[in-house]
Formats: sequence, C-alpha cells, structure tokens
Amino acid sequence: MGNLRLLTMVACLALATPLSAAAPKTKAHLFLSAESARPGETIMAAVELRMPGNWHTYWRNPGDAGQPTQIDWQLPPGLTAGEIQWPAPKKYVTPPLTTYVYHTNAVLLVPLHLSNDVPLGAKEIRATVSWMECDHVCSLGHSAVSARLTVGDRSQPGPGASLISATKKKLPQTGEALSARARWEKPLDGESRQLLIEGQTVTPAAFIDFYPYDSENYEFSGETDLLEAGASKWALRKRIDKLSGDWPRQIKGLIVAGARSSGIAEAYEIELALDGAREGSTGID
Amino acid sequence: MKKLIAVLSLALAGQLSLFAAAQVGKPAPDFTAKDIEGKTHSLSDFKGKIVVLESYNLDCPFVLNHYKTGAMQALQQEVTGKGGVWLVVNSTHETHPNYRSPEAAKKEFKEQKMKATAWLHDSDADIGRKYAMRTTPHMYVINEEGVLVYQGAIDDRASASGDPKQARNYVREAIGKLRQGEQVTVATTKPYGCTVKYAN
Repeated sequence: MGNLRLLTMVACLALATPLSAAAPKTKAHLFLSAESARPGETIMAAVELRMPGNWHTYWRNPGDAGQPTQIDWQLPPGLTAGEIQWPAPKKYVTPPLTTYVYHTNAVLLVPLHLSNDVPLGAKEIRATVSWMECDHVCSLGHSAVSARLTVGDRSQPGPGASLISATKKKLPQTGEALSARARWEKPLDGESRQLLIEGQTVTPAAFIDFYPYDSENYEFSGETDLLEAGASKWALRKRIDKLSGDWPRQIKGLIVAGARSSGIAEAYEIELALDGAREGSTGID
Repeated sequence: MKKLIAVLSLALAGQLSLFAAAQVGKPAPDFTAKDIEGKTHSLSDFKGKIVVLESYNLDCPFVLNHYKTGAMQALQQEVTGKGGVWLVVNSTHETHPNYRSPEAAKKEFKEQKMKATAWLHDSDADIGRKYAMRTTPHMYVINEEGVLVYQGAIDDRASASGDPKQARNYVREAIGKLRQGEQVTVATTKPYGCTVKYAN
C-alpha cells in the first residue's frame, strides 16, 4: 500500500512537470580550432548555441533573472579547460526588469590546454552544456556535445577554425584605450549610491552603456543615465544598491558602444578602482 | 529642500520605482488581495505573526525545482505549522501563458501539496509592484511587528536543478533568528530565478 502511494505520488509529480520533458529550443554544438595539436599547445573550443525566434539564453551576469550557461567538461587526461570567454550580450529590458541575453546565436569560447605529457593519439572531447532559455516562458535545457582531436606531432586547423577566429574578433577588447575612471557621486541613502563612469571616446558612438559583471554583495540598477557621448568624452551614471558587507572597491564589466542600443558595435572590458576617500562624503541639504 | 526636490525628481524619473516600495527595516507595505478560494486577506490582518511572501510561478524552472524536490513545501510547513503565515503571491499577468485561473490554481495547490496559508491572486501586480518582486522565487520575511526583515533569494544556490535542501536557506535562517528573538543577520540578498511575468 505504501509503495502504491509512493508510486502515485511520483506519477503525479511527473505529470505536474511538463517542462522537464519538453525538448529544448536551443541547440548546442561543439567545434574545435584544431583537428590535431601537439603537447603543450592551447587550442580553442567553441560552444555554439542557436536559439530560434525570440528565445534567448543568458550572459555571465544574467541580470535581474535567468541563469548563465554552464559548460561541464569531460576531458581526457592531460587536457584542461580554461574560463569561458563571453561575447558581449544584449541588454534586454522588460520593465521593471533588466537581463543580459543572447538571441539567435551565441558562441562561447573556451581555451583547452594540452599538457606537455599528454598521451598521444585520438581523443574525444566531451562536455555537457546546460542553459536556461526563455521566450515568454522559461525552461532549462542541456545537451551533451563532443568533438574529435588528435594529439600528435603536428598542428592542423579544425572545422571550428574560421568560426573561432571570427568570434575572437568580436570579443570584448581590453578597455585601456578608453582611459575610463569611476567615482562615487554623493550617496543617495544608506544602501544606494550613484556611480559615475567616464572615459575617452575611441570611436564616436551615440549609445554607450555599462554591463556589469555579477557580484554578490551589491548590484547595479538596470537603468543607465547616459550623460554625455561626445566626440572626445563619454560619461554615464549607474546606481548601485548594496546588499551586504562593504561598498565595492572596484567594479568590473563591459563598456559597450554603438549607433543605438540595438546595434552594439564594440565592447571593452574594464576593471576600475573606486576612490575610497569619497565613501565618507555626505549629501548637502 | 534641495534634497527633497532631488528625491522627487529621481522618483519621477522612475529611478526609485523598483526599490522605493518595500525596504528592509521599514514597515512592510500593506496590501489587500483575494486568494484562490475567493477569500480576502490584508497583510495587516496578520500583525503579531511572522509572514512570508513567496513570488510564485510553477512554470519557472527555479520554482519548479523547489516544489518537485519538496523543499518549498517543507519550509512552508515549518512556518505555518508553528503559527506563521505563508502567502504565495502569483503576479503572472492574465495574458501570459503561465497564468493560472482560480480553478487551475486550486488544482495546482492541491497537486503540489502546498502548505501555504493562502495563494493570492495578484495578476494586476499590486503586491508585485509594492514589494518590487523581480523574480520567481523572490522571498520576503515580515516580523511580528509588521517590519520587513528579509528580502531576496530563497537560498544561496541559484540553480534550477539539484537538491535545494543542501543549500543555505536565507528564509529559514531569518525565521530562526526571529523565533530566537535575535537580529536577522543576512537581511538582503540578490534574488534569482525567472522574471515575474508582468504585463509588458
């Protein structure tokens, strides 16, 4: 009797979870920059996600909701995977929420390093890719992907070589050319502050924004006040809400620029120190 | 005066709309809403009791995972079984595919073996806006004096799969502190999950 009840319960749960059974809308594929490589080399892997229609997957900082795509590698001995190199996402505003997403297509690059003593021969490179995908509704998807690599005495480009070199060109560049700076404006209140980020214009752009990387103790507001986007200088304001602990001493993220919000042409990674001396300053009545 | 103008202009610009409403350490905004049985509840009815608000949408994989593993129901039981109040708030707009009619909601409440006090209909987003509910699940804990003492994620495990019972549950922690007459130490965290399906 107890077993029957348990079985009924399990059956009910199964019926109540139609999402898990549905096939994911996003398709994942794995490509490698090399078909064969030598010990000690680092090759590049590309996980390509293709999303139909309005379906989207999430950036490293999903924003107010969502979940970043995850890659769990199952690598042969002698190979190690590096961090995901994320392309610039699209800022997706559905008031009052802001998320950072990819529509249509996203290529996530991951360096794979071959140790000096990696065993030679044919290898199967495998990974499980998991993501959250949303349209009007959200669901989870995952897919096992694999690709072949021969480790030997020569290097040869693989089927992913052109996709990977094209993707690399579009990755966020180093933000040094921007000469960016950040400083606190006067605090709004105890848990909320305004941050001014400014820098030098590299390519004139009508639209400039800051996409923060994820953080535990504080969060950026989705909205950005673009104060200036001139020929020589740009400036924008973000609000930071503190959740716990101390105010950040540095911020990290992307400065994106383009002709309009839907047409981001360039992205720069910045990591800026914040002037701690201003922390004590108060507003004037 | 200058400050007041500054605050007002910010509010008008919509800057504060998301956070001005419910604030940790301040009285929780009152609301009145109908539950799926047609009964009306106001937050002020529950003065003297610990109240938990849970923004809910079972079609969100994060929420689903907390229910299919039984973790959410177990936590609801811990609260309502000891004189506390647990309000499930469904702010999904009527036009959204995840919307539940009262009949569908009643069925779901039963099927999921929910141990909540009530499931509130909030498709006009009144509670959602007052509390700036961002995700499902987005959790709120209100103390016996009606002060909001916690808002944010349900736990420190922002995942839609696996076992939530392994996580550090902030709601359980906050309620434990309240019941021991102690200060809630982790009072605000970043909520995770799916966006609340408001009208867009």
